[in-house]
Amino acid sequence: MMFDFGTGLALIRDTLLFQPGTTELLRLGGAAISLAFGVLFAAGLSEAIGESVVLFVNRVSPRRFAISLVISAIIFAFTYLFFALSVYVVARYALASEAPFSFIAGMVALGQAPRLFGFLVFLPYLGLPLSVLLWIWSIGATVLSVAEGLELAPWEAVLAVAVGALLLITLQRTIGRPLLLLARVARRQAAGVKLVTDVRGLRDLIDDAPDEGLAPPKPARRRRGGQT
Amino acid sequence: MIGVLIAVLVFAALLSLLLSPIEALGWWAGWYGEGLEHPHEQSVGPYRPIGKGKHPRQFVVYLDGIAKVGAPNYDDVQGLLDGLSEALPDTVILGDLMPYSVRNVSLLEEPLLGRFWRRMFQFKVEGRHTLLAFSINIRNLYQVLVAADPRYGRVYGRGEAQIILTSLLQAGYEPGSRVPITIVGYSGGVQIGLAAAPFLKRALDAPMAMVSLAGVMASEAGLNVLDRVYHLVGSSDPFPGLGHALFPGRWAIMRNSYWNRLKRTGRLVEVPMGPMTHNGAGGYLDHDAMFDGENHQARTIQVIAGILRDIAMPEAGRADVPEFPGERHTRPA
Repeated sequence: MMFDFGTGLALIRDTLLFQPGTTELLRLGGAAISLAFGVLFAAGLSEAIGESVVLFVNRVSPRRFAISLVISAIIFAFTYLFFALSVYVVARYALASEAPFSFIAGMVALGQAPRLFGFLVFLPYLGLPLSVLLWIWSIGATVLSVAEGLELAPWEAVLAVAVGALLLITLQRTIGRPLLLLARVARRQAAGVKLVTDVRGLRDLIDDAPDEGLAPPKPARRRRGGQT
Repeated sequence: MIGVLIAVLVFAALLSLLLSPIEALGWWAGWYGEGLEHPHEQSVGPYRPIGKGKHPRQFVVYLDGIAKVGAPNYDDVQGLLDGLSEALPDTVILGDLMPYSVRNVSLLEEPLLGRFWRRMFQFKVEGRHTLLAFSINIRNLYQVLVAADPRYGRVYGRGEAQIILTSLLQAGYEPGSRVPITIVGYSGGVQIGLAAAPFLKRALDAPMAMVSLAGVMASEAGLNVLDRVYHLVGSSDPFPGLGHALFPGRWAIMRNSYWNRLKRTGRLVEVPMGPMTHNGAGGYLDHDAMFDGENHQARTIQVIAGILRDIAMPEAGRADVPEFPGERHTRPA
């Protein structure tokens, strides 16, 4: 099935506005699923731009910066596909849903549409509260989409998404470790530097990194043999 | 038509806000081709320390408000700096820094938008198209937000500290001399000074204080390294109160914030300035407006000079802090 640009935009708009009916197109598969994955990748790219301060603080070059954004977007997309898989497992085995994985993956992917505005997290001072807002917005869109698509009661949809998230976190900390390591290696390779991502590490980078300018000139030390 | 114009203006304001951290972060990442130890070479030329050649007992770094465009000062600001220099023969005053660029690049010399800013500056000086000319203030206000953002503020502070340090060394400051350094910030300049303060303290380990002239600032880690903060506020100036409302760290309920710790430790001195407005006519630097038989600028100079004198020569002055009519000195509980 093909649909035009306007229909695609309408699907994204309806998801953002929590309008019913968005899952009907996804149920048909084809172009709608492709659009959902496109949204997922674009949301990942946008979010990577919003959080790019990490790349700046790590002093990544402009070329590496661009590559890192794309790698981050791909990792974001894969993370949410794994999340979709978790939701699929919960829906299938706990809620006896017969929905195919591609349909659930499409719903989860389209549910990340609010994160298309993730680049706004880069805004000074306003960005941090905005990131929380976008996260809540995308959770809401995902829950509504899952409720409608799988014909679940709202609490069942919340349960499916929450247990799915819990399952994903558990997998990440157990058998998913090699994948996480792979993602970390990919990020580091793309950045071209040992990438520091934790808050304390970033703070230390700024406080402790090359200090010739800010350190007061030290008096020359006398060495043995009269050399200074 | 008006709707389109408003939409374009909102879009432009949002876009420039979005791009505002780029200069600080790009500088840090080395995208401008400068080392972290050097501010932009353009910044070296226009330094004109006021009172260089004095035998300094104190160095004052003046960080102007958000109308600043580059090294040259507006007449009223220059009047303040000259007045302070006259009143304080043992003090070197640095008033040429551009606080709203971590590379100390004047807006008028910006490669991309220099032409636009020159035109806006012309409007501002001539008092024409005031709304358009206000774009300078908005641009600099965004830099204040960058300095106040916990993600960007550290990078901004480090860049600004580098500029201040370079400026101090060029003006003859001797590291290790422990000659006091006082940052005098006007409006948003206070936030910039607070972001830079921890790095300056670490580099020079000198006694440091801040004079906040109608400062608009967040609760910053920089407050921790200052021996004292003198907060000068006019009763007709709503902006410092606005800053208080907008930055949650300054609310009384945030008991462990840097701001509230500053108050608790008695290092905050609030100095009421009488019925002065934030800027322009009736402002702190207006030499036509009168209060208590004195023009506003003269009174502001007198108050700040009193504070600075006391910092430089505590043994010669009052035992504790200068006293002014209505002064509120927050004491430890």
